[in-house]
Amino acid sequence: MDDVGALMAAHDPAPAELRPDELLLAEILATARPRRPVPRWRMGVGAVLATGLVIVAANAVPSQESDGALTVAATLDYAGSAVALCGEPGPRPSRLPGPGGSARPGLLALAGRAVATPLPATGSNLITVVQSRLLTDDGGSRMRTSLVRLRTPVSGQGVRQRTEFPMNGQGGLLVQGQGRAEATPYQSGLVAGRLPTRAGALRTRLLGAGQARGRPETARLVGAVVELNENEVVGGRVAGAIWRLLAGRADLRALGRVTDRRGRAGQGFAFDAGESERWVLVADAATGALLSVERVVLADTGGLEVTPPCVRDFWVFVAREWRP
Amino acid sequence: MTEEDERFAAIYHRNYSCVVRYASRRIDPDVAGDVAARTFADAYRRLAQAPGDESAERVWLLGIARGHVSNERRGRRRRRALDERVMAWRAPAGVPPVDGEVITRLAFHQALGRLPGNDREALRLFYWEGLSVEEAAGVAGCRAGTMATRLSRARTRLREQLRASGFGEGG
Repeated sequence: MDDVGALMAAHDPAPAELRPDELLLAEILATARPRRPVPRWRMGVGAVLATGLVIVAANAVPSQESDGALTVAATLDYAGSAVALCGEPGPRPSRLPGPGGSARPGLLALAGRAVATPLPATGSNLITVVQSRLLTDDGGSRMRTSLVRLRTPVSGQGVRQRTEFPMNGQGGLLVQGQGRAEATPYQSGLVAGRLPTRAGALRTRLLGAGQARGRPETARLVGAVVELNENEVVGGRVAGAIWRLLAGRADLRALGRVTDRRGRAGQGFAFDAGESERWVLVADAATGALLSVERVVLADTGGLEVTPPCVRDFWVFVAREWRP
Repeated sequence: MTEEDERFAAIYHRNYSCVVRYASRRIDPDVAGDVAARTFADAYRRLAQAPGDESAERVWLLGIARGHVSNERRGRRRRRALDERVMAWRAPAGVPPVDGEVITRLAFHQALGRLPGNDREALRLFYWEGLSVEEAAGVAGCRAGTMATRLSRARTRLREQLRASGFGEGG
């Protein structure tokens, strides 16, 4: 036995053989029955029908809402390949299409379409966003998806009112549940109305917004942009500046026309943060507004205990408005 | 007892210990028995899919157990206090730990815990479950070549981790 084998044997938490539990055997034999095998042709038909239902559900998302509840697709329709959430059942293509050509022309076009709007000095930002995050702990990995309605002061200081509605999977959709409200003190590090609109200065502000320094710069910038969009209504001038800034990032690639989880058509952009992770951004081609962000696990480099490819986090920005 | 029941009882007696110990090495030993119960109840329902070969039968059962271990991990978040680090401190029943032994065990389990999940699982399947590379690949759901690579990489990484924590090889 090699040295590792000897160590493993010395520290085996369950080294001794156990006697079978006869009571358990009797209980299983008394309460369960073997299922009859299903003919292969029936399994095939079932799989085809199930796949069809998932595709139909994922593509028919946005307007099918009952009782005022908001829904989003449970799978990401990624450039023709449906991708499931991590830790949830669903499609996991063996290979995702690679990011396309340079994103620069598309991002500059978005910057040009972002319409300059006057920013209010007082009042509140009202944001509605669906967030899904992969939570990992010693018990494994699980997804937590919520619809969040947020009210923050435009001034960047005051009280943040947050109402969170859990969302649960139902037949290819994530459906809004009952909400829970809370109010907390708010001190924003990124106030949309005070952000510079020159790309260089904006880059410095976004990189200084507390995103972990060990990550690739594009990931830090996009992380800051997501954080900004989660808390503030981003005006057209700042949105334009953000797209101009990102146009300078060579690792951002164009995905072309894509559909987000709310069924909205937009321009897709992607970049790979190493070999294990891909970020996907979807922007409204007409207004330059950020519609959605997805973080896809391409390879489990340890600790996540998920089967890639799968979506580990996403943000779907549903509505943004200012209130006096 | 029907023919099906007899076949299942034979599978159960051959593999009960293996399945309970597999679960004990991955989750709280107190619930390993429950996981084994769910694994065998599931196996009984799926008896028609059980392979005829005894070795393949163990791989099949551990594949089912793997799913139940994952479910158990997800379901026991409220008991975070009983995490793997605490488990590492536990001495075998009836054997009072001595300081050096506890420190050694803690260092080893910390080093093992720092490995990426796939590498850690490769070591567990190969050394603790006593599976061949092909069998371990069957349980983990990957190719034999991939498992061999993970195993080799895991050995190297474990040695590095142990060295980094001042743990002598073979000790």
